[in-house]
Amino acid sequence: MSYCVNCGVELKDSEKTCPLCDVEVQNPRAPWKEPAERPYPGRLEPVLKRADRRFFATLATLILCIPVAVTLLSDLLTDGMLTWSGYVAGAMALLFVWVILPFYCKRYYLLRLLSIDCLATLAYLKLIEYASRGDWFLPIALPITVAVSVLVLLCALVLRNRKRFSVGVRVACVFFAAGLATVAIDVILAHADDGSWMPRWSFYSVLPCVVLGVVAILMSRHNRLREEIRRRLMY
Amino acid sequence: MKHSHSEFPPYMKLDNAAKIYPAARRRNWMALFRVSATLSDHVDPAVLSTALSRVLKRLPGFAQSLKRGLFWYYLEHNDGLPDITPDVANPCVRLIPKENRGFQFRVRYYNRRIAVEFFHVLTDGTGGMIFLKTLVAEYLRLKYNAGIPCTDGILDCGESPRPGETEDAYLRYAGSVTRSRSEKNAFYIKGTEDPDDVHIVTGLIPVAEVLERAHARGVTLTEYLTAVLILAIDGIQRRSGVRRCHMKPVKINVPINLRRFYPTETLRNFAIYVNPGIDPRLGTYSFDEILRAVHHHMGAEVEEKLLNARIATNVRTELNPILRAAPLFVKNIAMKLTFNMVGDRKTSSSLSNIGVVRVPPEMEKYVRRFDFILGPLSRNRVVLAALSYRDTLVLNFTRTIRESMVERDFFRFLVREGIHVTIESNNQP
Repeated sequence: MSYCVNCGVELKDSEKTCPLCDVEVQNPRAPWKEPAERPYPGRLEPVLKRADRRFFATLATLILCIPVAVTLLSDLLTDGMLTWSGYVAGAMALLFVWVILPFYCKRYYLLRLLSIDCLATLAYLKLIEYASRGDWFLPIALPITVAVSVLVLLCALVLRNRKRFSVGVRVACVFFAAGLATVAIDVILAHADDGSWMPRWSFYSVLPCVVLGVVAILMSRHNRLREEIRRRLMY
Repeated sequence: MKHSHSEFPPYMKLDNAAKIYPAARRRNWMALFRVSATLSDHVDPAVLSTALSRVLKRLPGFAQSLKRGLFWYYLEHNDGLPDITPDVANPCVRLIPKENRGFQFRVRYYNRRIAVEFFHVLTDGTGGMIFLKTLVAEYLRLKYNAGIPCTDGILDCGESPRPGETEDAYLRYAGSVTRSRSEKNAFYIKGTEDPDDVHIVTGLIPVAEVLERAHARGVTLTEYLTAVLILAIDGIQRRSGVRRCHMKPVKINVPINLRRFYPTETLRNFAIYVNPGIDPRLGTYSFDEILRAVHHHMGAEVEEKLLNARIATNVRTELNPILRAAPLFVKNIAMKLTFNMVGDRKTSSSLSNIGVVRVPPEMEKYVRRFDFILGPLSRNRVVLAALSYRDTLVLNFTRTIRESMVERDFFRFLVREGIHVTIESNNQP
């Protein structure tokens, strides 16, 4: 019969260390020895391991390759050269970068993955511009993509920080970002059109975004209202 | 489908409390609990299997497979017999029905112990204990020819099943007035996640010593244990360095056996939860203050009329025409979302006390000990299950984090109160 010097509890013969504090049992008169019968057997019930994300990501990539191969092949066989199939291949590559690539990472590295997403989008847009012989990449596509990516990054940073920002602030952040995005798009389009920096139509979308954002913040500060909404949503 | 009992329905609806469990289960988790009996001699699995087949004929409500209907899950009678398997070191790990011949419970044996683990769709702790006692009594009759009378919750396997044993008593007793279930989220015990391993720490305590301390303060045993558990968890939150204004309430989920209030023979779920606790933002609570808070909370909540309104709320949700009309896959999403958002978040831990386990003297000489273990919860990492048998209170902590601070503080407090505590665990050397 041994007692834990730390916890003061009596330990059954099966316990080599105290299960409460992990201190080893030291009884000079009766050193610990394996008891004839332990309270539980040594056999463990096998627990299903977590799904192998990388395996499923590879599988999804292979499936994604099928439409790419089919379109490339049919394009090549009909024209003898690659024309329209580049759009499909580019779209699939974009899908891979946006959706499948994060599954290869241990966790979602926000800045790195969003930057790669932004670069991939730009590359795809450049490809479309090149294939359609347009001249809109530098004045329109590049600034809009960069502006939207920065706003998405800021939003994600706020949405992630659950401890610091309440639900209302996080919802408001999404509305404000949406409003800002429309202003950015409006200004970029206006500048590309006639060189002016004056927004034209974004006022109509900014106003509801700002109002909804402010309402979200006010609602989150109103405890009783918040509880009421939560209750209505739940029950 | 074959059907051995003409008077017994071939399929059953899930009871009101069970409806959430199939939707809430995950790849690696489901709501399980386990009751076990330690005998004076080694268990013979062949005899146990025969006893089980007899018990399942008497209690067909347990011989069920879980099936998916168009609108709800339902239970279908299963004529087979589950395998009796050797016990493991990590009890209450997800049950895979395919590997268990479709049954929603499993029987395990180890040296002198017979253990049954139930999925909560079948029954609650009280029903599970009646099943175990009937199984052990039948085993002892077959093995030792013991003349065990059918008293103290042991059912006669020669009788035919009674319809009342499978009734959904919630539906029978639900009143018309409902109560809000809205509550604040509680403190969550953090630790190093160890989901692959289930740690069991058992405390064996002379029941008279605890009862004496509890009665001296004018509270019941459950209230006393709940207060000690709150004190232990409150200490963890205070030591975590969170500012007082950001502290969360420490609340314990305590199931209340409704059979105490509403007469029924049912062996299916018939319990409801109360969540006594404290709000540490208001200041540091002494043990006596916590005890008073728990005692008065339980006194106010555990009252027939208020419990009835709680049952009515749950039944009303089930009878909601929009929810009923939704197909099962839609319901599953809604129920899973609700369970994840509400489920364990309202409490920091659970304490389920099955109470005093009584068996006839003819059986008592063969059974040394009973145990009750709660399976890990979906979110909360430490839970406690209690029962008393003969003169010993058996407390089983189930934990899925590495740190044992809750049990440590819990048992150390009891030691400081002058109570003799003996500890064993499922740790391997």
